Amino acid sequence: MADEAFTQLVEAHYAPLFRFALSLTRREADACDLTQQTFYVWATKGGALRDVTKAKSWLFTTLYREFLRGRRRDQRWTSIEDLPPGEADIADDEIDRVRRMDGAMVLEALGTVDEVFRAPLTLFYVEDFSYVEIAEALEVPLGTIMSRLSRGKTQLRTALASQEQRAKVIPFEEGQRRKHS
Amino acid sequence: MNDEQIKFLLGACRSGDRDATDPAVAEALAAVERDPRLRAWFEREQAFGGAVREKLREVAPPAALREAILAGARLGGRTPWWRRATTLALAASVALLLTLAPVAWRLARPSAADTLPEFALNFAGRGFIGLQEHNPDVEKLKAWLAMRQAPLPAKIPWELAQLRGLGCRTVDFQGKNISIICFERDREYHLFVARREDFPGLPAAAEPRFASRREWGSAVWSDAHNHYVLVSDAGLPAVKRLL
Repeated sequence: MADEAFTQLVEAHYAPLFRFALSLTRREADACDLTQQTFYVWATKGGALRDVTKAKSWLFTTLYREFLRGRRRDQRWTSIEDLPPGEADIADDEIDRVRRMDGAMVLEALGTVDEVFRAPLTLFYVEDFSYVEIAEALEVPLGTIMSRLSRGKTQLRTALASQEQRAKVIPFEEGQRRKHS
Repeated sequence: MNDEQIKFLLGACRSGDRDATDPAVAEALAAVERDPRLRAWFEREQAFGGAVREKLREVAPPAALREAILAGARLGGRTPWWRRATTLALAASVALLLTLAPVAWRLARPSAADTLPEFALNFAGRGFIGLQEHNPDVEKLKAWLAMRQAPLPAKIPWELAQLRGLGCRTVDFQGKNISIICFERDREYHLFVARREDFPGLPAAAEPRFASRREWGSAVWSDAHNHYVLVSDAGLPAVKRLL
């Protein structure tokens, strides 16, 4: 692959890959390392990919695999899958709540969602991946992805509500300082 | 198909997605079109998804990340390293692998509970240092670190200083700034430098203390200003030869 093509590949995908990595690792430095590592793997193995239109999906799959290799598996993984859905319909004020927040707050809320749900949820929101594309990228059956997205969204909505509640709470000392400033 | 099934199918589906061509999803979308109540539900789902999406896309990568990725590609001379890796002989590819990421994530990730030597082993053992500056000239690497007020080695052992420099970076450990300078001679050697005042609990000794873990060797020593940890997957004998 020529310099120009590699630069274009980086330009096109490094930001969404970073966001995906950040949602997984929740630490900027780790997310940077993971993103760099993904392009490194591309440089050493990506040349074998014959269909360049699959580069995007390949990069996300690789990043996720690298992430999984780098951390110990969580014992809660299996039991989380068994939770019942029970999702209530979204109310208008939930949409307004998100609109009132900034990106960092939403990302923080997303970071509290269990990892097994967070990965597909991030691909859905950040990259507009379809069910099929998420299933391909994470190498998980389609039905499982639908289920994880549904449960993940429920957790995210709860997290967003808590996030806003926390933002509303002003510590006593802070309130006092404001009064006298 | 009942309402619950429709909601499950369309909960994270956009009408323009690839998924819309799936017969079940298409059927659910058609049902939404027919039922005003379901349509209102679907519109709120889409609005919620759109709002979350918009906010998440506000999160920007650090300014230096793009350059760091491309700089990694420039390492190794005029021929791009990824091109060499795919076109040159196996030996060149292996050498390149050793240059940039010799092992992959073999050890546990660094943890705040680690001691400095454990942190150094774990960090290097991940296989990807993520160098922020690349230069074979160690003096230039030191200058780069100095500009960032990062810990600077007072003296690099003579044998180690004869190795070719690879690059350097800074990293945060337990809230303290650590410098990492990487060298190469067949294998990589990583020198971690930490200010003594930042890690008063770590015993200071001028004589190196050696240790090994799997194929990794490490040495820890101190001078008046700094603690040093040298780690390499070249093994303990190779580390000893450099000190």
